[in-house]
Amino acid sequence: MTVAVEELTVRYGRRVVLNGLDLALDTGVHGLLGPNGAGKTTLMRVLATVARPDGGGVRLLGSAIADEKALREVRRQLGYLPQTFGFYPRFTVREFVEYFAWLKEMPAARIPVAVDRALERVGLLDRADDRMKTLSGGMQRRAGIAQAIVNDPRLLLLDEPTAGLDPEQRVDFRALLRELGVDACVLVSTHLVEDVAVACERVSLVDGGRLVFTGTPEQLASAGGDGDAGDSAIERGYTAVLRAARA
Amino acid sequence: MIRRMLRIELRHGSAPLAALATAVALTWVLVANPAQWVGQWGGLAVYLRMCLLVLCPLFLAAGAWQVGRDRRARTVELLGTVPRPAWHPMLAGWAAVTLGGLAGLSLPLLVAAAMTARLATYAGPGWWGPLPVVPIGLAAASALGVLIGRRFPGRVTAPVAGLALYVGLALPAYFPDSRWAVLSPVTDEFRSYVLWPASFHVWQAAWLGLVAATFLLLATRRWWAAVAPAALAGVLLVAAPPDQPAADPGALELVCTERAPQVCVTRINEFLLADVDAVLRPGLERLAGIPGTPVRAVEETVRRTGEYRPDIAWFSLNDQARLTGGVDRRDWLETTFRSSLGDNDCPPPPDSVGDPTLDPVWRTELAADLWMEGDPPPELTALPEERQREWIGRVFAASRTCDRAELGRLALS
Repeated sequence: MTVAVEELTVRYGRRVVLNGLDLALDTGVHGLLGPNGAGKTTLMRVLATVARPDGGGVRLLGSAIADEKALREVRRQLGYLPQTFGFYPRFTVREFVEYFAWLKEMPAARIPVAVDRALERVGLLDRADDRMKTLSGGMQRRAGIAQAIVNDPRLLLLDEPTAGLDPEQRVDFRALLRELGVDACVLVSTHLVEDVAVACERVSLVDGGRLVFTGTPEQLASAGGDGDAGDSAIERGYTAVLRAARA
Repeated sequence: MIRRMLRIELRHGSAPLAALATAVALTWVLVANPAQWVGQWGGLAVYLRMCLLVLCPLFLAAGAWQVGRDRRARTVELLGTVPRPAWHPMLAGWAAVTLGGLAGLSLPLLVAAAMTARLATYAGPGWWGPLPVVPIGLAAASALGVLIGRRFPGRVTAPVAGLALYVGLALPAYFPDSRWAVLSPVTDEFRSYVLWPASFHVWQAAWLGLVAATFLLLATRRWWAAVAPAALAGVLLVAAPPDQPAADPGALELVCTERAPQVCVTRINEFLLADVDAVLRPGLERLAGIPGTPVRAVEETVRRTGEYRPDIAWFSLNDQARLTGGVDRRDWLETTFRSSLGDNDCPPPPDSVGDPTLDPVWRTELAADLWMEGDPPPELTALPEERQREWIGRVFAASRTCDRAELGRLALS
């Protein structure tokens, strides 16, 4: 199992953000859904090794991350796009991705090829020598995805990756997700349930810091009925599951 | 790969900003005070050490700004997920801003060196001695900036810390005998004609290098590793300075005009001799043949404390070189020359009461001054030429002996 989370608890002060959450993910594209404040970003941050759990166990890539050495090894195989993506505005796109490839301790000889490949996959190769600050918001987001995938991570965590992308770019991005999911475990946190419906093999729904649903997009869609709110079957399933969890 | 990262930082990190800031700052301080360095290799090296008063705070600010970049760019979270230890990019950033800042200094420095090469009449041994401390001191300043920037992240950290260092570096000027004044990279104790032994510069460079290493290790939170350089720096701080400076006899050797009356300057100021001669010769020639008056004008740098010689008029070349060479303030040069003619450390005159123009001493001195300027008052020109010269000779003689009664008696009607 690439990600194995048991009884995960995270608190911010007195507020319990994740409350005994269990999650198991393997290779493939996984969607993470939930309303605002459900704990999605906190879960992503724990999996990205940024935030430390207050309770429960987390195993990433088969490691319990008991020490610095294990943490470093996991991080070498990790790709992460945070919800608030920052960048160095004067760097060119290539330099930015290259810089993160270096930070991910990729072998120096592999970096130039890996950077070009990552940029090609996100459709930014023709803008590689442009400065980051000259890109549109959507392009900057794609540069963020490029830095996340440059090291061919075994665990890829993308928090709101499609924010700022136009419809055409979102279609391309979904195709990229499917491609990445062949060899890696990809977890995509999003509000856009149609992205999940199209690109993800499995979906997890978090509410109030707990996992309230896990299954395929089809199973989520079938949980809803005509009386549930939503414009599509999966949206109706989403609202039905949430309503049931809160009942 | 580290070279590639360094190149990226140098091109598109904070380094270009550091380079621009240091280039502008050094250009400004060089242009603002050319008299300190124009035409003198030793002067240029020494003045560069003075410039560290401005440059060190800039390097510190650059270090603090560089290390605060991740926070400003909101990449802290992303950087928290990478395996490479945080001190690797931090060191690369420090190296980049330090190299960038030094690169920024290179252009104005090259121009200053070219201008110096065109005019300099003396180099002497070891004039470059104060120079190696410059990059080491600046690297220590940027390392301190990195340490402060990590400890206090924020946009105001860089300017506030830079300002604080400026004050800290300026303070030793008020405590010239303190140990900090000796170890500070900024010093106004150096003179272009004074040679500090190489051991002193090595001692100072070693201290600053150890301080820089301590700052960097503390910034990377390697507390125990920082103990060794900090302890060694402490030892150097309390140890006695290795050797004392000595005047460079070659620099102070007098170079004089060939024809009498002679005008003499030190070897390091030889490039000013023609200009100085042009300014002082008319006054010296006017005095020629008057008994007891100077027959030579000599730069007062070589004057021993309290030394008085009736045959020599002293003049000062402090702050006198123009950016393009030549004497900057001819009137000031003449003033120092003329005031030395009757100067014999006389006791101050009693406070004048009433109208000073009624004071016969004042009138005598004024008439002598005007005569030296070639514009004597009518009561003096009314006298025959020989009488005028005799009168001037008596005035200077009375001035030298501080004989105010005689000066009063010499007042012209």
